[in-house]
Amino acid sequence: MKKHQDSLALRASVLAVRGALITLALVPAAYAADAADLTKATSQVEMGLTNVDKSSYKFGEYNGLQDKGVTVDAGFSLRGGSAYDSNGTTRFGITGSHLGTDNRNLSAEFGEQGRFQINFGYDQLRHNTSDSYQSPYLGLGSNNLSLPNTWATPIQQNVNPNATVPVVPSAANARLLDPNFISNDSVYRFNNAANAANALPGGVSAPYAPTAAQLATMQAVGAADRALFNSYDIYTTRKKLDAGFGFTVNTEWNIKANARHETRDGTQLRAALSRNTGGDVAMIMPVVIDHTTDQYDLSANFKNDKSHLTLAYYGSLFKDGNNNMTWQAWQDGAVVPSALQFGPLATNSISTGAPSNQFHQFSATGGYDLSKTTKLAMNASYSRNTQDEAYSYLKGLGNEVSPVLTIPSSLNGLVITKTLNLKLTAKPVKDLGLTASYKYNDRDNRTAVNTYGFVDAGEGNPAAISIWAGKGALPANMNAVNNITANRPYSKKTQDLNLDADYNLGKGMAVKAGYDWQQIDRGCNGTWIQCSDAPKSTENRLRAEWRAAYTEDLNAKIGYARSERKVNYNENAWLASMPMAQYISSTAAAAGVTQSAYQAMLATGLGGWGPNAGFPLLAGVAMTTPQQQAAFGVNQAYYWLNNNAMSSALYGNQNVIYDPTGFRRYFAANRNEDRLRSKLDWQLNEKVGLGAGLDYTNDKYPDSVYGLQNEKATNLNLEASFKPSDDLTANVFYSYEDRRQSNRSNARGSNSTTANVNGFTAITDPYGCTNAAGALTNTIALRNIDQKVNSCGNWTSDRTDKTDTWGLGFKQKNLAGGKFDLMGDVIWARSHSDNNFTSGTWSNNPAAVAGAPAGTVAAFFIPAQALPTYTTDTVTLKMTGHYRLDKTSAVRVGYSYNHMKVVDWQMADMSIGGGLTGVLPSNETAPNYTVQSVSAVYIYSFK
Amino acid sequence: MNKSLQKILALSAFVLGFGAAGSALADDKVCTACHDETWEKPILSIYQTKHGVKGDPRTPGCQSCHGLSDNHLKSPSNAPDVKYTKGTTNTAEQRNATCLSCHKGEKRAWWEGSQHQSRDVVCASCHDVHRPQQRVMNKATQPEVCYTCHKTQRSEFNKISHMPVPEGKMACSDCHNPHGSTGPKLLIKNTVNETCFTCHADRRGPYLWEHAPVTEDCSNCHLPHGSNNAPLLKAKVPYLCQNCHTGDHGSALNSGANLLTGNASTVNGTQANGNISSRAQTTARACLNCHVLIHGSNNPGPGAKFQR
Repeated sequence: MKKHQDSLALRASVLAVRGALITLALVPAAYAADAADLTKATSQVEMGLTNVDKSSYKFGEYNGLQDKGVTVDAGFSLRGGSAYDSNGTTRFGITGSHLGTDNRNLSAEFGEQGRFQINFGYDQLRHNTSDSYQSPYLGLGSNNLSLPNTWATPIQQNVNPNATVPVVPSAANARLLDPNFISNDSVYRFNNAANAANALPGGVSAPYAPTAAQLATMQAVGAADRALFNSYDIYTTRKKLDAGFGFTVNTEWNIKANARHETRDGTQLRAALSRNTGGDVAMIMPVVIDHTTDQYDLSANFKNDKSHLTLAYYGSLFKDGNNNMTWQAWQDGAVVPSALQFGPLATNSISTGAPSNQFHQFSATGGYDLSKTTKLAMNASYSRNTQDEAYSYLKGLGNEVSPVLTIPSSLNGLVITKTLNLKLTAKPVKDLGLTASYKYNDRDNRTAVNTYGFVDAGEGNPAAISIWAGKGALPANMNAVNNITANRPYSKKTQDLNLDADYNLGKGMAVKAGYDWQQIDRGCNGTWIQCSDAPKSTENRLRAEWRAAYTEDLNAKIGYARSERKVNYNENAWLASMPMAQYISSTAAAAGVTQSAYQAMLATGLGGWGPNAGFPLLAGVAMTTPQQQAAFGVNQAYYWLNNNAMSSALYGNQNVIYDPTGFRRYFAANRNEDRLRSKLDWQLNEKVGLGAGLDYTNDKYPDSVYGLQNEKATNLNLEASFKPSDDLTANVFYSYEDRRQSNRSNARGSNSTTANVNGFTAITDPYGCTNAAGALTNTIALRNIDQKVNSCGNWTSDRTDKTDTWGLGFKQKNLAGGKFDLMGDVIWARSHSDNNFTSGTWSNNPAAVAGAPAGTVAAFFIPAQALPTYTTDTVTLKMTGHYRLDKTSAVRVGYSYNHMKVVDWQMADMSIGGGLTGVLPSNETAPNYTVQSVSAVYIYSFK
Repeated sequence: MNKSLQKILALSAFVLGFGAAGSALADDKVCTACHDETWEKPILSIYQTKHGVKGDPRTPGCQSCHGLSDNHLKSPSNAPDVKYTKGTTNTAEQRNATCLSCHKGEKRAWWEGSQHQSRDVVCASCHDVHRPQQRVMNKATQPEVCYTCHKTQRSEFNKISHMPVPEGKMACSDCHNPHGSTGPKLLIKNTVNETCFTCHADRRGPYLWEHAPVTEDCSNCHLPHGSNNAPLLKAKVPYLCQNCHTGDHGSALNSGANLLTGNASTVNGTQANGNISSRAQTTARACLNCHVLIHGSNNPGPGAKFQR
């Protein structure tokens, strides 16, 4: 390892601190006249100003300099205590930094060394998330958001090719807030027979369009609503108070205690979902953050020549002061198009997602030197994690459902974690080092399993769902949206065995070999069937490493590791959330059902995906039971989505998500991993040093038909350092990172016997999609008959994230007659992310409407397109000068140029004028700033 | 100065009433007679540090760490018995043994066999005990010390989404114990999640509706240091989610053709895919437009799909 190379990675926020440190280091050196300068602590007070020329939340994300203008730059460091050559042991220190910003820090410590020490600290961190967020809601910053009484729901005049007159609109459309969208009439482009200019390509015209009055109304609605959008800055502030105490009992024992009280307040953006006829709609809202975390560390520590022991307690108590957010749904206003309409608006609620919880851990850690070269270390801990916050849903608001079983009013969650760690190290012969370690970690989630009613957000009616009587009966009114589901409290037991041998070959060379074994057992306490995708996984890894330090100035290392993880994957884990799958309800029994859903699956040997073969043309036959299915030989899926063979009313299987056969979740899938790590450091001479490193990781998932196929990461680092003189140092570096992921999935559709779109049947398909028989699916009928297994259902996504980072830095000391030091850094970083696909999607032809010419194409298969490249460019230039006025006074001046430009196609749709119909625009924009700052600070140092 | 003279000086100091400090300083004087304030490296600044509080009987002297160094005393061209800087002939084990003789247990309980120990990293690689304000002990400057070897992390912290390490509000040691630990990657706690929860206790749960990969390991979805995809994600949503989800609309292909700008050429001319508008599962917050509580939900209703 090389020591203390100067880093280039500097940002404006830390320059002040680093400048102070430099000051402390340099002032004594430059003016060192006697030993007292070196042996007596230096204190320092600094005061100055920093000016930022533009406001930018991203530039000021973590440094407190988000606002344009002048900020006080103040700090101090007061240190002292007994003189080193006295018999006193008093030491104290009080420091403060960034005092003029929202990121201030204060700390103090006092103690009699060898006896006791107390310390206090305060740290504040403002985290800016957005300064471009806008919303029409009132009450931003509170947990109850309402819309102004002038809010009018942007309603799309319905596009109904079968109506003879413009009809009552049916759907809210956020794009109607965009005047250009309405002006361009694009939404009616395909339905405007009256306007020949809007005829479809190919001469097809659409017969229906909104009237001029309706268009004017929509424009008025949009204009009125746009005026209601106001800006609201999004940020949180963490404030941390800590206090510690240490007491040295004797040479063997000491006691330490530390307490931290941390609050986090502010707002954080999060989407909020509600339901509108025809689809989900959402808005981005500032969720009130009101978190308090208290942490405690207590320990008693023992040590002697051969052993050590620590008995410790760690407690973490988290409290969420805001359990709910409520808001009026922006899309729920009245829908008469003739005038601006106001409310009534449904109120929705959401839990903030951070239930109060506690974590208590007791641990014992010890070590014993069996001999001078053989040492044993061990640790055992017991942890208790509880969560018992009252369920936060609001009843009676029309968008939540009651639990269908009698359950507690809170989760009463409990997780017990027990760990054991053992490590034995030995050196049986001079050049051989051996290490063996074993780890056991049992996270036992003892939270009770219960069954709850489920509907999608905003979709259900709590009054419509009855209490479920448990097995033998389904809740009344089970229908297309209502369902029941059970929780899955995950438990996990991990065991690790690691063996290492390190052998010194001499002449600075050494080799190391290792073997790792890991077994993970997963499951849930109380579910009716195994709940985990990977009940047991076992991983074996072999490692080898060669390293050499031929001289102190030249050392190298290369290591390689290969691991294989095997998992007994459980494709039926999702059934654990489906309690009804094990029962035959009385309703089902009355209908002649003799098998539960699970029994039916076992009988056929099929999972939720069902058979892969196509759907036979049995139009009009209602398949409601496995018996009927068997009788008709219907090849359907057992569970929704795709052609549920069993009715939800009988089996309670609505809204269940399952995966296609062969799908594997990557963190629980078979995996082969190759890792390469290499490094070279070469100090050519006193003036020049070079360094290089190449790391490569390749994770393959060989048995995943669907899911993540491959993940690779390559990192190259090059660095050169120069020291042409004692006063001048410089270095330059380049880092390249390449991360790739390849995914394979299946966009299966639902099989059906539907054979046309408004009477049209042909599909234009340049891609050549085929059905199970290999025939081109160039008609609606051929596509629909077995869309579940159409070749074009399979798609792939290949993603790359590439990042180049260049850095250059220098430090010149003792300019201006030894009074002036200058340092500078520039970093340029560019990342670009791409995503390429295969396959595509079907899209019905908007022109295939009643009245269109014969031969009009019914649908297109539109090949996938690569996503636009997502790029981030960052340039950061920092210059700091330090001028010593005299032995006690100095001035630090600084300049920084900071530029960031992000091109993010996802952010573009957040604005009015973006492309989303169901998400209320928030006008958030991707970071794009150029900010310069200058600072001047006076520093006074004293002993 | 020979050993006998040292002893005489030390005894003299004690007799003259210097006490413990005086005695210890007398030993130091053997070294500081030459390595005084004129020395190029500020040796004497160690007296500003905890290692210089001579009133504490535990405080080491020069010889405690560098050895009696008789040969060095005879001829300065000979190295001291234990040297920590450039030109040393002492093994890493020898150098570390000096520190570990006092600094045993507690944070160093798992030093033996740790990643750093087994690769010959020495205490002095990171700690400069003569310096009153060690860079590795200061939150703002500690990363520079770590970047000396961990250069990939340096570039990761320059990405658009990063932990506030470059800003000096967080240090590497807030998550890692470089002296060894029971956790992976030298994490301060037993597991990745346990470490993350020291700051993100709001994610700890347990939730009514747990999200399996979250419970399993935060790093299934997040990169710990920095990422091009905020917030510290391995990939953009929805593609990150689609690594694991193929159910319902999660199975759909979200390509550039699903964007507002994603017009596709067809026989009837250029037309937008779908319903002219962008696909909500593709853009903006994508999956997180609806599945908003993705770390877990405590809502008995739609919480099962992390909607509320």
